[in-house]
Amino acid sequence: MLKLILAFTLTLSLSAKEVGEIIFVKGVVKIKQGDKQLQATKGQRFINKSIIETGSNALAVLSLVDGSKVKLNKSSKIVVSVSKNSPTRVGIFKGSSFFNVLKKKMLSKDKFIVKTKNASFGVRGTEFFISYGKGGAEDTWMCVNEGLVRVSPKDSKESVDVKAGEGVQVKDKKSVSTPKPLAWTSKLNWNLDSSKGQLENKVNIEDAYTDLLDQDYD
Amino acid sequence: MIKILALFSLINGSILASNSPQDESTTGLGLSLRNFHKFTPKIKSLLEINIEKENELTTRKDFKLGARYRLHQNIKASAYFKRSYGLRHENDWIKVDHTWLWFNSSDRGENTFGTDLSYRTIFKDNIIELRAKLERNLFNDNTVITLRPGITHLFLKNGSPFINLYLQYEAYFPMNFHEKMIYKHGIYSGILYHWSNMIKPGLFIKYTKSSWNNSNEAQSRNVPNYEVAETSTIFGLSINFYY
Repeated sequence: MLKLILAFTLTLSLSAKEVGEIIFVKGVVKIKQGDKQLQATKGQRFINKSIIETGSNALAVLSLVDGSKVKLNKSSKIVVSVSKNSPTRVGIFKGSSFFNVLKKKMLSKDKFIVKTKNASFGVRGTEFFISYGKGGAEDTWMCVNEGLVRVSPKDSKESVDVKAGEGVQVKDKKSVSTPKPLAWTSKLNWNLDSSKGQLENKVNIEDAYTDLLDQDYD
Repeated sequence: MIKILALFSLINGSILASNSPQDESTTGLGLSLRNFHKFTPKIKSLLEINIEKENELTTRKDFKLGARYRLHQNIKASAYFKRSYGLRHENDWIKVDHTWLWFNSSDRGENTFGTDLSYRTIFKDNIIELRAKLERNLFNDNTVITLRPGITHLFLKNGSPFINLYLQYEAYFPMNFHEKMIYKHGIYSGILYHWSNMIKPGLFIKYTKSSWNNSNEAQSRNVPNYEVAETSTIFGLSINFYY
């Protein structure tokens, strides 16, 4: 009986900390929760501050308790932190992710924040994409498909609002490029629902962010 | 007597006709090799070799060396030096041994200094550009302003361009020579394939129409005023190198 009570208490305690669920997984996806490391499976729940990492040919879609969804592309690593009284936070260690934040989240201040080593992205929109550390570089690329994202380089007091269809690059901790329309933004695979088709994004982000206006042909 | 007068008139007419050049139409091949080296995010080198049939007599060869600076996200400025062979000018219509002819400028080297300013903007999958160029040829001190509006359509694959299709119109405004406001204009169109980040080959077609008035020598010899047109159609290969 005592064992049963203990097990029930433990279950309650764990479920209280659960902040999301893996709703799609392809390839090797690992979840690190404290000292434990698990191989992720569809339907698996994860607790606060879990570190989720995808392998070289992997993909995962996470659903967070606040209603947001995150599509983690291959070779990516993030940490998720959700709490009631402060914004949901996602830290990107490497790779790229698509985010879909519920509209109710953008009513007031930033309610969803994504952080990389050199910048933070306050989300006031619903769909955006972030890539960090491509090819070993410490720069961050971000583009917005819908709504608005406020970008703040880590060591700068200034911030830049990026609208739908625009993208920016944060090269260092102090500056962010001027937002500019990127025609290919709509060509990224924004789908986060496996029942609606392919989830994999085949756009080469490095090439896609090539500054078309800087290309010289003659 | 009437026969003699008629014959004289015919000969005279023939001589008059040969005083002025004839309309000329040329079709030929061209080759453009370009290299762009990025020194800094804002500064690039300009190295260019152009070889193309200028007219029935000569093949033009241009060797260009310069630098391009990005002043603003949409604006770039260049400065360059160009060494050219085979260029034809208005004053190349000369009389040699009682015969009027175009001077063969194949071996004549000319130095030109130039600068240009270009504005580019993106509209959907197209780049719209206007380039204004100012060139001074030190051989004859001719100064020309060129305006070139153009559009380049980008075919994107996985978010990056892999084929460019372009169309440009170029008009030449002589500043200190020629009677017309635009003495030369043409259409330049082509396709560029993004073979790799370092090599981009392409094919182009260039149609140019120039007009010539009396040369200095023709004026000094009281040749009646003339205006002749010279057209050229060039089918060419271009290869751009980036490293």
